[in-house]
Amino acid sequence: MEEKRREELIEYCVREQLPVIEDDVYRDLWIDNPPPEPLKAMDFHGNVLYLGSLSKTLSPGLRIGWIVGTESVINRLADLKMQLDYGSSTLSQLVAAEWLSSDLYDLHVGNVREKLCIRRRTALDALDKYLGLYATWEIPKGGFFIWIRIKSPFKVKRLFEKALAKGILINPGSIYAEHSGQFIRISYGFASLDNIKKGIFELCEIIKNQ
Amino acid sequence: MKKPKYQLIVDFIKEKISIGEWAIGSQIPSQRNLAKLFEVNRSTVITALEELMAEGLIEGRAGKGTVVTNNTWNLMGNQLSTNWNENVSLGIHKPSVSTVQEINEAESNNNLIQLGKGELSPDMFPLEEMKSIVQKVSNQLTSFGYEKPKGNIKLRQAISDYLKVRGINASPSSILVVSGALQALHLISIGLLKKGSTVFLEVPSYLYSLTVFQSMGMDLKGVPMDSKGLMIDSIYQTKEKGKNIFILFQPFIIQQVF
Repeated sequence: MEEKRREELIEYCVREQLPVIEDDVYRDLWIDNPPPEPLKAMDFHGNVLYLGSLSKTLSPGLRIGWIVGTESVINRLADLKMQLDYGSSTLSQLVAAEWLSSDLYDLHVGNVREKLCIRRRTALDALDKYLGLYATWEIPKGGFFIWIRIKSPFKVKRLFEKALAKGILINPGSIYAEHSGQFIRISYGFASLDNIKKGIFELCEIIKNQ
Repeated sequence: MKKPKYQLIVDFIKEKISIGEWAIGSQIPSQRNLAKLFEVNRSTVITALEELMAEGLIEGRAGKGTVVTNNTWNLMGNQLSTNWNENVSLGIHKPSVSTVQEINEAESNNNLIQLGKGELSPDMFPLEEMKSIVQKVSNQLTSFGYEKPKGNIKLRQAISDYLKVRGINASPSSILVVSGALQALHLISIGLLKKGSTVFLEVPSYLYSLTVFQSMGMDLKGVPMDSKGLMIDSIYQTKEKGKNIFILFQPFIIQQVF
Protein backbone atom coordinates (compact mmCIF):
# COMPACT_ATOMS: atom_id res chain seq x y z
CA MET A 1 0.00 0.00 0.00
CA GLU A 2 1.22 3.49 -0.89
CA GLU A 3 2.76 5.67 1.80
CA LYS A 4 0.10 8.38 1.40
CA ARG A 5 -2.74 5.87 1.54
CA ARG A 6 -1.27 4.39 4.71
CA GLU A 7 -1.22 7.79 6.37
CA GLU A 8 -4.80 8.42 5.27
CA LEU A 9 -5.85 5.08 6.65
CA ILE A 10 -4.31 5.67 10.06
CA GLU A 11 -5.80 9.21 10.21
CA TYR A 12 -9.20 7.84 9.32
CA CYS A 13 -9.00 5.14 11.96
CA VAL A 14 -7.91 7.61 14.66
CA ARG A 15 -10.73 10.00 13.71
CA GLU A 16 -13.36 7.27 13.65
CA GLN A 17 -11.88 5.45 16.64
CA LEU A 18 -11.56 2.31 14.61
CA PRO A 19 -9.19 -0.23 16.08
CA VAL A 20 -6.79 -1.74 13.60
CA ILE A 21 -5.23 -5.18 13.59
CA GLU A 22 -2.03 -5.09 11.57
CA ASP A 23 -1.06 -8.62 10.66
CA ASP A 24 2.55 -8.24 9.60
CA VAL A 25 3.91 -11.78 9.72
CA TYR A 26 5.42 -11.59 6.20
CA ARG A 27 7.33 -8.32 6.79
CA ASP A 28 10.81 -9.84 6.79
CA LEU A 29 10.18 -11.72 3.54
CA TRP A 30 10.36 -8.69 1.26
CA ILE A 31 12.11 -9.39 -2.03
CA ASP A 32 12.74 -6.22 -4.02
CA ASN A 33 12.80 -3.44 -1.45
CA PRO A 34 12.08 -3.26 2.26
CA PRO A 35 8.39 -2.43 2.85
CA PRO A 36 7.39 0.93 4.33
CA GLU A 37 7.33 1.13 8.12
CA PRO A 38 4.39 -0.62 9.75
CA LEU A 39 1.25 1.38 10.56
CA LYS A 40 2.10 0.68 14.19
CA ALA A 41 5.14 2.95 13.81
CA MET A 42 2.76 5.86 13.03
CA ASP A 43 0.36 4.97 15.81
CA PHE A 44 0.52 7.37 18.76
CA HIS A 45 -2.99 6.74 20.03
CA GLY A 46 -2.79 3.02 20.63
CA ASN A 47 -5.25 2.26 17.84
CA VAL A 48 -3.17 -0.47 16.29
CA LEU A 49 -2.79 -4.03 17.52
CA TYR A 50 0.30 -5.35 15.81
CA LEU A 51 0.87 -9.06 15.10
CA GLY A 52 4.16 -10.74 14.30
CA SER A 53 5.37 -14.32 14.20
CA LEU A 54 8.29 -16.63 13.53
CA SER A 55 6.07 -19.15 11.73
CA LYS A 56 6.53 -17.76 8.21
CA THR A 57 10.16 -16.74 8.49
CA LEU A 58 11.83 -19.34 10.67
CA SER A 59 9.78 -22.29 11.85
CA PRO A 60 6.02 -22.83 12.19
CA GLY A 61 6.74 -25.67 14.61
CA LEU A 62 8.13 -23.32 17.26
CA ARG A 63 4.61 -21.88 17.68
CA ILE A 64 5.87 -18.43 18.62
CA GLY A 65 4.28 -15.13 17.70
CA TRP A 66 3.45 -11.85 19.43
CA ILE A 67 0.84 -9.14 19.86
CA VAL A 68 1.81 -5.53 20.56
CA GLY A 69 -0.75 -3.08 21.89
CA THR A 70 -1.55 -0.69 24.72
CA GLU A 71 -0.84 -2.17 28.14
CA SER A 72 -4.49 -2.41 29.17
CA VAL A 73 -5.29 -4.45 26.05
CA ILE A 74 -2.22 -6.64 26.48
CA ASN A 75 -3.10 -7.25 30.16
CA ARG A 76 -6.59 -8.34 29.15
CA LEU A 77 -5.34 -10.67 26.41
CA ALA A 78 -2.60 -12.07 28.67
CA ASP A 79 -5.24 -12.97 31.26
CA LEU A 80 -7.28 -14.75 28.59
CA LYS A 81 -4.24 -16.62 27.32
CA MET A 82 -3.50 -17.82 30.85
CA GLN A 83 -7.05 -19.14 31.07
CA LEU A 84 -6.66 -20.94 27.77
CA ASP A 85 -3.23 -22.56 27.97
CA TYR A 86 -1.10 -21.10 30.83
CA GLY A 87 1.41 -19.71 28.38
CA SER A 88 3.50 -20.88 25.46
CA SER A 89 6.19 -23.53 25.86
CA THR A 90 9.25 -22.35 27.80
CA LEU A 91 11.56 -24.29 25.52
CA SER A 92 10.18 -22.62 22.39
CA GLN A 93 10.32 -19.20 24.01
CA LEU A 94 13.97 -19.61 25.00
CA VAL A 95 14.91 -20.82 21.53
CA ALA A 96 13.04 -17.91 19.93
CA ALA A 97 14.72 -15.43 22.30
CA GLU A 98 18.13 -16.78 21.33
CA TRP A 99 17.36 -16.47 17.60
CA LEU A 100 16.09 -12.92 17.84
CA SER A 101 18.80 -11.62 20.14
CA SER A 102 21.69 -13.00 18.08
CA ASP A 103 22.46 -11.85 14.54
CA LEU A 104 21.54 -15.31 13.27
CA TYR A 105 17.93 -14.32 12.60
CA ASP A 106 18.85 -11.44 10.32
CA LEU A 107 21.38 -13.59 8.47
CA HIS A 108 18.76 -16.31 8.06
CA VAL A 109 16.00 -14.07 6.68
CA GLY A 110 18.52 -12.45 4.35
CA ASN A 111 19.31 -15.89 3.03
CA VAL A 112 15.62 -16.76 2.69
CA ARG A 113 14.98 -13.54 0.75
CA GLU A 114 17.65 -14.47 -1.79
CA LYS A 115 16.18 -17.93 -2.26
CA LEU A 116 12.65 -16.56 -2.53
CA CYS A 117 13.83 -14.21 -5.25
CA ILE A 118 15.07 -17.19 -7.30
CA ARG A 119 11.91 -19.15 -6.58
CA ARG A 120 9.72 -16.24 -7.61
CA ARG A 121 11.68 -15.92 -10.87
CA THR A 122 11.14 -19.62 -11.59
CA ALA A 123 7.41 -19.38 -10.91
CA LEU A 124 6.96 -16.21 -12.97
CA ASP A 125 8.91 -17.67 -15.91
CA ALA A 126 6.76 -20.78 -15.86
CA LEU A 127 3.59 -18.70 -15.61
CA ASP A 128 4.66 -16.56 -18.59
CA LYS A 129 5.49 -19.66 -20.57
CA TYR A 130 2.42 -21.76 -19.80
CA LEU A 131 -0.40 -19.65 -18.42
CA GLY A 132 -0.04 -16.34 -20.25
CA LEU A 133 -3.01 -17.10 -22.48
CA TYR A 134 -5.32 -18.23 -19.72
CA ALA A 135 -4.59 -16.07 -16.73
CA THR A 136 -3.32 -12.77 -15.35
CA TRP A 137 -1.33 -12.00 -12.20
CA GLU A 138 0.76 -9.38 -10.53
CA ILE A 139 4.31 -9.78 -9.36
CA PRO A 140 4.41 -10.07 -5.57
CA LYS A 141 6.91 -7.77 -3.86
CA GLY A 142 7.47 -10.17 -1.02
CA GLY A 143 6.24 -13.28 0.72
CA PHE A 144 5.69 -16.43 -1.31
CA PHE A 145 2.23 -16.25 -2.84
CA ILE A 146 1.05 -15.28 -6.32
CA TRP A 147 -2.62 -14.55 -6.84
CA ILE A 148 -3.62 -15.73 -10.28
CA ARG A 149 -6.80 -14.67 -11.99
CA ILE A 150 -7.98 -17.41 -14.32
CA LYS A 151 -9.80 -15.98 -17.32
CA SER A 152 -13.39 -17.11 -17.61
CA PRO A 153 -14.98 -19.40 -18.62
CA PHE A 154 -12.50 -21.79 -16.99
CA LYS A 155 -13.88 -23.13 -13.74
CA VAL A 156 -11.53 -22.81 -10.79
CA LYS A 157 -13.31 -25.33 -8.58
CA ARG A 158 -12.83 -27.96 -11.28
CA LEU A 159 -9.22 -26.87 -11.72
CA PHE A 160 -8.61 -27.49 -8.02
CA GLU A 161 -10.12 -30.98 -8.18
CA LYS A 162 -8.39 -31.99 -11.39
CA ALA A 163 -5.06 -30.67 -10.15
CA LEU A 164 -5.43 -32.64 -6.93
CA ALA A 165 -6.18 -35.77 -8.93
CA LYS A 166 -2.94 -35.14 -10.83
CA GLY A 167 -1.02 -34.74 -7.59
CA ILE A 168 -0.88 -30.95 -7.38
CA LEU A 169 -2.34 -29.00 -4.48
CA ILE A 170 -3.38 -25.40 -5.11
CA ASN A 171 -5.62 -23.14 -3.04
CA PRO A 172 -8.77 -21.97 -4.80
CA GLY A 173 -9.56 -18.29 -4.24
CA SER A 174 -13.10 -19.18 -3.20
CA ILE A 175 -11.90 -20.02 0.29
CA TYR A 176 -10.43 -16.53 0.70
CA ALA A 177 -13.40 -14.39 -0.27
CA GLU A 178 -16.94 -14.79 -1.46
CA HIS A 179 -16.34 -13.19 -4.81
CA SER A 180 -12.94 -14.52 -5.69
CA GLY A 181 -14.09 -17.58 -7.56
CA GLN A 182 -11.82 -16.94 -10.54
CA PHE A 183 -8.66 -16.78 -8.46
CA ILE A 184 -6.15 -19.34 -7.34
CA ARG A 185 -3.33 -18.73 -4.92
CA ILE A 186 -0.10 -20.55 -5.52
CA SER A 187 3.01 -20.58 -3.40
CA TYR A 188 6.56 -20.59 -4.70
CA GLY A 189 7.91 -21.02 -1.19
CA PHE A 190 7.59 -24.75 -0.60
CA ALA A 191 7.87 -26.99 -3.67
CA SER A 192 11.23 -27.59 -5.37
CA LEU A 193 12.07 -25.47 -8.42
CA ASP A 194 11.43 -28.45 -10.72
CA ASN A 195 8.10 -29.13 -9.10
CA ILE A 196 7.07 -25.48 -9.35
CA LYS A 197 7.69 -25.65 -13.11
CA LYS A 198 6.02 -29.03 -13.42
CA GLY A 199 3.03 -27.97 -11.34
CA ILE A 200 2.43 -24.83 -13.38
CA PHE A 201 2.81 -26.78 -16.62
CA GLU A 202 0.20 -29.29 -15.45
CA LEU A 203 -2.21 -26.48 -14.50
CA CYS A 204 -1.86 -25.21 -18.04
CA GLU A 205 -2.63 -28.67 -19.46
CA ILE A 206 -5.76 -28.97 -17.30
CA ILE A 207 -7.06 -25.55 -18.33
CA LYS A 208 -6.30 -26.18 -22.01
CA ASN A 209 -8.24 -29.42 -21.98
CA GLN A 210 -11.27 -28.13 -20.12
CA MET B 1 -4.84 -70.13 7.02
CA LYS B 2 -4.88 -66.72 5.38
CA LYS B 3 -8.04 -64.72 6.04
CA PRO B 4 -10.08 -63.69 3.02
CA LYS B 5 -9.66 -60.03 2.12
CA TYR B 6 -13.22 -59.04 2.94
CA GLN B 7 -12.73 -60.45 6.44
CA LEU B 8 -9.80 -58.09 6.99
CA ILE B 9 -12.10 -55.17 6.24
CA VAL B 10 -14.80 -56.53 8.56
CA ASP B 11 -12.26 -56.96 11.36
CA PHE B 12 -10.82 -53.49 10.80
CA ILE B 13 -14.22 -51.80 11.00
CA LYS B 14 -15.30 -53.88 13.99
CA GLU B 15 -12.12 -52.91 15.80
CA LYS B 16 -12.72 -49.21 15.10
CA ILE B 17 -16.28 -49.52 16.37
CA SER B 18 -15.52 -51.63 19.43
CA ILE B 19 -12.75 -49.36 20.76
CA GLY B 20 -14.97 -46.35 20.22
CA GLU B 21 -12.94 -44.54 17.57
CA TRP B 22 -15.94 -44.71 15.30
CA ALA B 23 -18.83 -43.83 17.56
CA ILE B 24 -22.50 -44.50 16.92
CA GLY B 25 -23.80 -42.13 14.28
CA SER B 26 -20.42 -41.51 12.65
CA GLN B 27 -19.98 -41.96 8.95
CA ILE B 28 -17.57 -44.64 7.85
CA PRO B 29 -15.21 -44.09 4.88
CA SER B 30 -16.72 -44.38 1.42
CA GLN B 31 -16.56 -47.67 -0.47
CA ARG B 32 -14.08 -46.08 -2.83
CA ASN B 33 -11.76 -45.03 -0.01
CA LEU B 34 -12.00 -48.43 1.69
CA ALA B 35 -11.18 -50.12 -1.60
CA LYS B 36 -8.15 -47.87 -1.95
CA LEU B 37 -7.06 -48.43 1.65
CA PHE B 38 -7.17 -52.21 1.39
CA GLU B 39 -6.19 -52.34 -2.27
CA VAL B 40 -9.20 -54.43 -3.21
CA ASN B 41 -12.10 -54.20 -5.64
CA ARG B 42 -15.28 -52.39 -4.71
CA SER B 43 -17.10 -55.73 -4.72
CA THR B 44 -14.89 -57.01 -1.88
CA VAL B 45 -15.74 -53.91 0.14
CA ILE B 46 -19.43 -54.43 -0.53
CA THR B 47 -19.22 -58.03 0.72
CA ALA B 48 -17.64 -56.79 3.95
CA LEU B 49 -20.19 -54.03 4.43
CA GLU B 50 -23.06 -56.46 3.82
CA GLU B 51 -21.77 -58.69 6.57
CA LEU B 52 -21.52 -55.76 8.99
CA MET B 53 -25.02 -54.66 8.03
CA ALA B 54 -26.34 -58.15 8.67
CA GLU B 55 -24.80 -57.96 12.15
CA GLY B 56 -26.57 -54.68 12.73
CA LEU B 57 -23.43 -52.61 13.21
CA ILE B 58 -23.79 -50.27 10.26
CA GLU B 59 -26.56 -48.97 8.07
CA GLY B 60 -26.73 -47.09 4.76
CA ARG B 61 -28.56 -43.78 5.07
CA ALA B 62 -29.72 -41.64 2.21
CA GLY B 63 -27.52 -38.58 1.81
CA LYS B 64 -25.32 -39.55 4.75
CA GLY B 65 -23.40 -42.51 3.42
CA THR B 66 -22.92 -45.51 5.67
CA VAL B 67 -23.10 -44.83 9.39
CA VAL B 68 -22.38 -46.78 12.56
CA THR B 69 -25.66 -47.72 14.18
CA ASN B 70 -24.54 -49.97 17.01
CA ASN B 71 -21.42 -50.95 18.78
CA THR B 72 -20.57 -54.38 20.01
CA TRP B 73 -21.12 -53.24 23.62
CA ASN B 74 -24.61 -52.13 22.78
CA LEU B 75 -25.37 -55.40 21.12
CA MET B 76 -24.14 -57.28 24.17
CA GLY B 77 -25.34 -55.14 27.03
CA ASN B 78 -27.96 -52.97 25.41
CA GLN B 79 -26.49 -49.87 27.04
CA LEU B 80 -26.69 -46.48 25.45
CA SER B 81 -23.48 -44.66 24.73
CA THR B 82 -22.88 -40.96 24.23
CA ASN B 83 -23.82 -39.86 20.75
CA TRP B 84 -20.68 -37.88 19.98
CA ASN B 85 -21.87 -37.31 16.51
CA GLU B 86 -24.59 -35.03 17.76
CA ASN B 87 -22.15 -33.24 20.05
CA VAL B 88 -19.54 -32.56 17.40
CA SER B 89 -21.96 -30.29 15.62
CA LEU B 90 -23.12 -28.54 18.80
CA GLY B 91 -19.83 -26.89 19.85
CA ILE B 92 -19.72 -23.11 19.56
CA HIS B 93 -16.81 -22.94 17.10
CA LYS B 94 -17.71 -23.41 13.46
CA PRO B 95 -15.92 -26.13 11.49
CA SER B 96 -13.63 -25.19 8.59
CA VAL B 97 -15.34 -25.26 5.24
CA SER B 98 -14.96 -28.63 3.53
CA THR B 99 -12.45 -27.44 0.92
CA VAL B 100 -10.22 -26.09 3.71
CA GLN B 101 -10.43 -29.40 5.55
CA GLU B 102 -9.56 -31.21 2.34
CA ILE B 103 -6.55 -28.92 1.82
CA ASN B 104 -5.38 -29.33 5.42
CA GLU B 105 -5.49 -33.08 4.96
CA ALA B 106 -3.71 -33.00 1.59
CA GLU B 107 -0.96 -30.68 2.85
CA SER B 108 0.62 -33.50 4.81
CA ASN B 109 0.82 -35.71 1.74
CA ASN B 110 4.47 -35.68 0.66
CA ASN B 111 3.70 -37.18 -2.72
CA LEU B 112 1.79 -34.11 -3.85
CA ILE B 113 3.36 -31.06 -5.44
CA GLN B 114 2.55 -28.48 -2.79
CA LEU B 115 1.67 -25.22 -4.50
CA GLY B 116 -0.63 -24.06 -1.74
CA LYS B 117 1.28 -24.41 1.48
CA GLY B 118 1.92 -21.28 3.53
CA GLU B 119 5.25 -22.55 4.72
CA LEU B 120 8.87 -22.29 3.66
CA SER B 121 10.51 -25.28 2.01
CA PRO B 122 12.57 -27.52 4.32
CA ASP B 123 15.67 -26.65 2.23
CA MET B 124 15.47 -23.11 3.59
CA PHE B 125 15.32 -24.29 7.18
CA PRO B 126 18.55 -23.34 9.00
CA LEU B 127 19.08 -26.73 10.60
CA GLU B 128 22.68 -26.25 11.71
CA GLU B 129 21.97 -22.88 13.32
CA MET B 130 18.88 -24.30 15.00
CA LYS B 131 20.91 -27.18 16.40
CA SER B 132 23.54 -24.88 17.83
CA ILE B 133 20.91 -22.59 19.36
CA VAL B 134 19.02 -25.49 20.93
CA GLN B 135 22.36 -26.75 22.26
CA LYS B 136 23.15 -23.36 23.75
CA VAL B 137 19.69 -23.10 25.30
CA SER B 138 19.97 -26.58 26.75
CA ASN B 139 23.15 -25.59 28.57
CA GLN B 140 21.33 -22.76 30.31
CA LEU B 141 18.21 -24.65 31.31
CA THR B 142 16.70 -24.34 34.73
CA SER B 143 13.47 -25.96 35.93
CA PHE B 144 10.49 -25.33 33.67
CA GLY B 145 7.95 -23.43 35.74
CA TYR B 146 4.92 -21.61 34.41
CA GLU B 147 5.99 -18.49 32.58
CA LYS B 148 4.79 -14.95 33.30
CA PRO B 149 1.32 -14.24 31.83
CA LYS B 150 2.77 -12.11 29.02
CA GLY B 151 5.52 -14.59 28.26
CA ASN B 152 9.20 -15.12 29.00
CA ILE B 153 10.83 -11.78 29.77
CA LYS B 154 13.98 -12.58 27.82
CA LEU B 155 11.91 -13.25 24.70
CA ARG B 156 9.78 -10.14 25.17
CA GLN B 157 12.92 -8.03 25.51
CA ALA B 158 14.30 -9.61 22.31
CA ILE B 159 11.01 -8.89 20.49
CA SER B 160 11.09 -5.32 21.76
CA ASP B 161 14.60 -4.84 20.31
CA TYR B 162 13.57 -6.54 17.06
CA LEU B 163 10.59 -4.19 16.69
CA LYS B 164 12.68 -1.10 17.39
CA VAL B 165 14.73 -1.78 14.28
CA ARG B 166 11.45 -1.95 12.35
CA GLY B 167 10.24 1.44 13.59
CA ILE B 168 8.07 0.34 16.51
CA ASN B 169 8.71 1.46 20.08
CA ALA B 170 7.19 -1.16 22.35
CA SER B 171 8.38 -2.03 25.83
CA PRO B 172 8.19 -5.67 27.00
CA SER B 173 5.12 -4.86 29.11
CA SER B 174 3.12 -4.05 25.97
CA ILE B 175 4.05 -7.31 24.26
CA LEU B 176 2.25 -10.62 24.67
CA VAL B 177 3.86 -13.84 23.45
CA VAL B 178 1.36 -16.09 21.68
CA SER B 179 1.61 -19.36 19.81
CA GLY B 180 1.28 -17.85 16.35
CA ALA B 181 -0.74 -15.02 14.85
CA LEU B 182 -3.83 -17.21 14.71
CA GLN B 183 -3.94 -17.40 18.50
CA ALA B 184 -3.58 -13.62 18.58
CA LEU B 185 -6.67 -13.30 16.38
CA HIS B 186 -8.54 -15.78 18.53
CA LEU B 187 -7.68 -13.89 21.73
CA ILE B 188 -8.76 -10.61 20.13
CA SER B 189 -12.04 -12.12 18.96
CA ILE B 190 -12.95 -13.49 22.38
CA GLY B 191 -11.46 -10.67 24.44
CA LEU B 192 -12.03 -7.37 22.70
CA LEU B 193 -14.88 -7.61 20.26
CA LYS B 194 -18.58 -7.41 20.95
CA LYS B 195 -20.97 -9.86 19.39
CA GLY B 196 -22.36 -8.40 16.21
CA SER B 197 -19.21 -6.40 15.48
CA THR B 198 -18.15 -5.97 11.90
CA VAL B 199 -14.66 -6.91 10.92
CA PHE B 200 -13.45 -5.06 7.87
CA LEU B 201 -10.74 -6.73 5.91
CA GLU B 202 -8.96 -6.86 2.65
CA VAL B 203 -10.34 -8.95 -0.18
CA PRO B 204 -9.13 -11.57 -0.60
CA SER B 205 -7.81 -12.49 2.82
CA TYR B 206 -6.85 -15.73 4.48
CA LEU B 207 -9.19 -14.76 7.29
CA TYR B 208 -12.11 -15.79 5.10
CA SER B 209 -10.81 -19.33 5.18
CA LEU B 210 -10.91 -19.42 8.99
CA THR B 211 -13.96 -19.19 11.17
CA VAL B 212 -12.28 -17.48 14.12
CA PHE B 213 -14.41 -14.31 13.96
CA GLN B 214 -17.63 -15.72 12.57
CA SER B 215 -17.72 -18.28 15.38
CA MET B 216 -17.85 -15.43 17.89
CA GLY B 217 -20.79 -13.83 16.12
CA MET B 218 -18.97 -11.24 14.05
CA ASP B 219 -19.46 -10.32 10.42
CA LEU B 220 -16.65 -10.06 7.91
CA LYS B 221 -16.84 -7.24 5.45
CA GLY B 222 -14.45 -6.82 2.56
CA VAL B 223 -12.90 -3.46 1.70
CA PRO B 224 -12.05 -3.12 -1.99
CA MET B 225 -8.51 -2.28 -3.02
CA ASP B 226 -7.08 -0.33 -5.91
CA SER B 227 -3.51 -0.02 -7.11
CA LYS B 228 -2.63 2.28 -4.19
CA GLY B 229 -4.05 0.07 -1.47
CA LEU B 230 -7.25 -0.15 0.51
CA MET B 231 -10.00 2.19 -0.67
CA ILE B 232 -10.70 4.09 2.51
CA ASP B 233 -13.81 5.80 1.16
CA SER B 234 -15.52 2.48 0.84
CA ILE B 235 -15.18 1.56 4.48
CA TYR B 236 -18.71 1.35 5.63
CA GLN B 237 -19.08 2.80 9.10
CA THR B 238 -21.99 1.54 11.09
CA LYS B 239 -23.40 4.09 13.52
CA GLU B 240 -22.54 2.33 16.74
CA LYS B 241 -19.10 3.38 17.95
CA GLY B 242 -16.74 0.80 19.35
CA LYS B 243 -18.43 -1.98 17.47
CA ASN B 244 -16.21 -2.12 14.44
CA ILE B 245 -12.75 -3.34 14.09
CA PHE B 246 -10.63 -2.98 11.07
CA ILE B 247 -8.17 -5.55 9.93
CA LEU B 248 -5.17 -4.80 7.86
CA PHE B 249 -3.43 -7.75 6.36
CA GLN B 250 0.16 -7.79 5.15
CA PRO B 251 0.09 -4.48 3.32
CA PHE B 252 2.93 -5.05 0.90
CA ILE B 253 2.13 -8.62 -0.01
CA ILE B 254 -1.43 -8.57 -1.23
CA GLN B 255 -1.79 -6.69 -4.44
CA GLN B 256 -4.77 -5.40 -6.23
CA VAL B 257 -6.54 -8.41 -7.58
CA PHE B 258 -9.96 -7.05 -8.44
